[in-house]
Amino acid sequence: MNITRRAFVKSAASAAAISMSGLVSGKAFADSAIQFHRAQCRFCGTGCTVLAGVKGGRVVSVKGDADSPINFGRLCMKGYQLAHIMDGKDRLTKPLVRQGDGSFKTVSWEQALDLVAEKFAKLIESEGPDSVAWYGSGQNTTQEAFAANKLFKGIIGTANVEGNPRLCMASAVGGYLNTFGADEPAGGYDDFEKADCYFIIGSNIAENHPMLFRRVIDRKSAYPERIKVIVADPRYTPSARYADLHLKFKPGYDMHLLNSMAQVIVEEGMVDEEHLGYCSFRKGLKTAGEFTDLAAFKLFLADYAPEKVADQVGVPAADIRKAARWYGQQGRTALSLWCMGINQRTKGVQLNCQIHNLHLLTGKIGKPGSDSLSLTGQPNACGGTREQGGLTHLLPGHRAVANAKHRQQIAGIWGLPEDRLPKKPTGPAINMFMRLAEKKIKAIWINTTNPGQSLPEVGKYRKAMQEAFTVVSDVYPGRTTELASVILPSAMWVEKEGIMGQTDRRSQFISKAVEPPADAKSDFWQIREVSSRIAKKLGVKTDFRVLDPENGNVKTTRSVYGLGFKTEKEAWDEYRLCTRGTDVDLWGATYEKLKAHSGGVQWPCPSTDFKNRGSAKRFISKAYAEEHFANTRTAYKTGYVTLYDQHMQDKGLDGPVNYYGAHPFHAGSKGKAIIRVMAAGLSFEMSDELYPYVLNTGRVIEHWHTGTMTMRVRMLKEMNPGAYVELSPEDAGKLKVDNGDMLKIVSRRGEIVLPAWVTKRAQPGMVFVPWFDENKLINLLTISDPKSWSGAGEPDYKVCAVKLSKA
Amino acid sequence: MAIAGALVIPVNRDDEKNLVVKLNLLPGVEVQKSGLRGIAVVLEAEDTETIKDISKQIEQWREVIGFELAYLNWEELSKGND
Ligand code: SF4
Repeated sequence: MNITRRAFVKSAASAAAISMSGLVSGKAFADSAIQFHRAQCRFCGTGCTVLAGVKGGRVVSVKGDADSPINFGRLCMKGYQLAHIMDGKDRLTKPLVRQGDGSFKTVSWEQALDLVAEKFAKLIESEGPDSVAWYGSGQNTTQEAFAANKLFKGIIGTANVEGNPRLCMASAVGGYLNTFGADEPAGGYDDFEKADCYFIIGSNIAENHPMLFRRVIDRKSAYPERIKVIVADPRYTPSARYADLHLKFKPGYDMHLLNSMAQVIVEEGMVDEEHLGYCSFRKGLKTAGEFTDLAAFKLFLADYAPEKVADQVGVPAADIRKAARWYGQQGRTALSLWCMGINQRTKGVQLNCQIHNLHLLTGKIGKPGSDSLSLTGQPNACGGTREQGGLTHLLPGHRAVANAKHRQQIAGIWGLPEDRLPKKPTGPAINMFMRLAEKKIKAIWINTTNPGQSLPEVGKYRKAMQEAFTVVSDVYPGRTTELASVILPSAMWVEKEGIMGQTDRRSQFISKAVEPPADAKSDFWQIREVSSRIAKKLGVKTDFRVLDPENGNVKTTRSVYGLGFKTEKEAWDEYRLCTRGTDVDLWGATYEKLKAHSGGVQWPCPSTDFKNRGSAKRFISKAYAEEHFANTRTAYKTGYVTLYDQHMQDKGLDGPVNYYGAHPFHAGSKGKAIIRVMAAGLSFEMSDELYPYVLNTGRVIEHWHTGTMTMRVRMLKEMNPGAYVELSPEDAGKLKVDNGDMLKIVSRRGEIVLPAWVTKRAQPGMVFVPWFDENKLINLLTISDPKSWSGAGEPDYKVCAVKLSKA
Repeated sequence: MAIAGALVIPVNRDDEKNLVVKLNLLPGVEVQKSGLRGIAVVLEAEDTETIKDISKQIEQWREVIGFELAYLNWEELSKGND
């Protein structure tokens, strides 16, 4: 029996590998011993669709979903370890409360929930709603994030709602708002198979979004001459190794590089005149600068001619020209991809706008194969935070806290009095932790994230978390739970049900496949239970409306203490209603559709028609798509997406191309995109005589963020067991350091000693340290000074000055 | 017992033939087919840790840009003699 089973498993393994190789599709092996449940990988923002195989109440097999239009059945090494992240021996399974002597005592859920509610309610009553706060995550499900938002902004009435996406994607939001007046990209993953030039900047996509990089490799393998891959990165990463052209610029000089590429595009006539009709030019960010024109932009760019900036940037002028030509030639398509190397920067918003500038100038947007696609770090930073409104200034459906009409709309849907909602934002994430340190915030609930390890200049804020009343919901003990007053044990991944939204405006369903261990509970349940207790203590009732999921009509109303919705599905239906009619329209993303379609739904999706899975392109009308493209739909294995913007069609918005964003940053644009004219600037802290090296931090392929989960997977831990410092052979020679020697790294804020890895990945003058290792807190050295933040409140994790010595 | 299906992706298509020979020489590795997107292999080992060692070794070969698991199973399976 076992022998047969082994042969069967080998055949299944072979079929899976063969189907991925692009040969005959592997014969589908129906494995009756294992029941597969569809979910989404809970690691990176790619959002690969996964099938979790369950036998005997445990996940025993994991495979990519071949029906998925995201990963086509593939997964990277982290994805394959998903099941093991649930099995760590030290899973948190009981609520814990810190005692006077610093130890933790196990308590019942009733006791833990009562304690949290009582502490929060007392503070709210005695010191006001802004004395408490929520710090969530791009790894919460959308329902969890929506529930927390309703609790804090609706029931409690504070705008102290922030999350870790502030630290990774806020600059990308700023870039989209300044350029298009609407957040999130115009295109999506379908563009990978139509792109001729991939311009990858500030992203080690090969390690951090491996399955998207596979789509690049596939395309390049099929058309090796035609397809060009350009990687702009100060490090010689695996992505750079694969590229046709590596622009190894000096850390901090990417604004110069991007303006230089724009200069070549304009000077050499690669501008798309027709598309410029849909654009305007404006000096600087937001609305302070005046509108200008192409002629003035051309004059401005003259100082950035490649021959003038090459030495400064550290890239030969000929390479800058080559990159601009490969990207800009008319008749070819271009897809830009970037991530934290651009966002986690003092000039993060400007850099984002500069990338959009190149697309707008060349008209390489709104067409199959062309897009300006910001890669998301986390699996639900887009869905749970950007779209749902999980930051201090936002409300669900791309609405603003400061907008009275938006508050009225959301209060109406939430069934709460309008005047309970805060009227203005408080402050971005680091500001919130600063207020915690100043004891203006006295209680904080940290959920699905590990700020005790991940905040910049973390030493400052660890003390603040320890001194406040800090509630931490997590799955494993770590550098934040050790600071907590109360620890709530959470369910994870397929131990709970939820929806997550990824990089390309896509939402996917995660099925619950197994039970969480012992007393661990879903975060949704935790928030719901705390909400009803706090609401009762504050005497706040919610008029919850049970909706008809098809037409949104109210079926019944119940007046309750708490959130009102009891299940994840009810929460999702209320959230769908919040998005209805907005640019992030998810009204058509019914539970039924999300469960049925592998790869989910892409908003805007106003239609509840079962086959309609939303819009692959934004900002272009149906008429424009019909005139320019052979097809106006892309068919998937089940259903289809349109190559036009269903929100535009639904709202009757004018024009073949309409950058309709109504955001205040976009005021005066008259539906046109804005090419931002911006002088190149540097990072807040560049290297100098005292601190002559630049420290860059980031992720590695084996580990996810702070390693809470992946360091519990033996295979991943052994592949990459601890932090190290990458430095160039040239610098190693100067410092007389060999591989494995200990190196002391000192910044103006802290120091650390790490083993050296001498590698050509690093360029002279720069070192790189990953941040997954909880025993080596590299964030003791990084910067949290508000002056280092991008215009969107995001700190600079990528460039800070350090000195090095052999330890 | 652990069994995996994986795809080995060469940096350059010209390296493919050599890679197939090298892969077949590794204990526990069987090349299944060589396709447009890479070389499909099955790996069989005592445990997932050994699968990790083999994959790490392959990944570090100069001719390889990627090693992707397509399937991984770690149920209790006796090796038998089939
Ligand atoms: S690429 Fe990202 S989403 Fe896909 S399997 Fe790997 S970690 Fe998961």
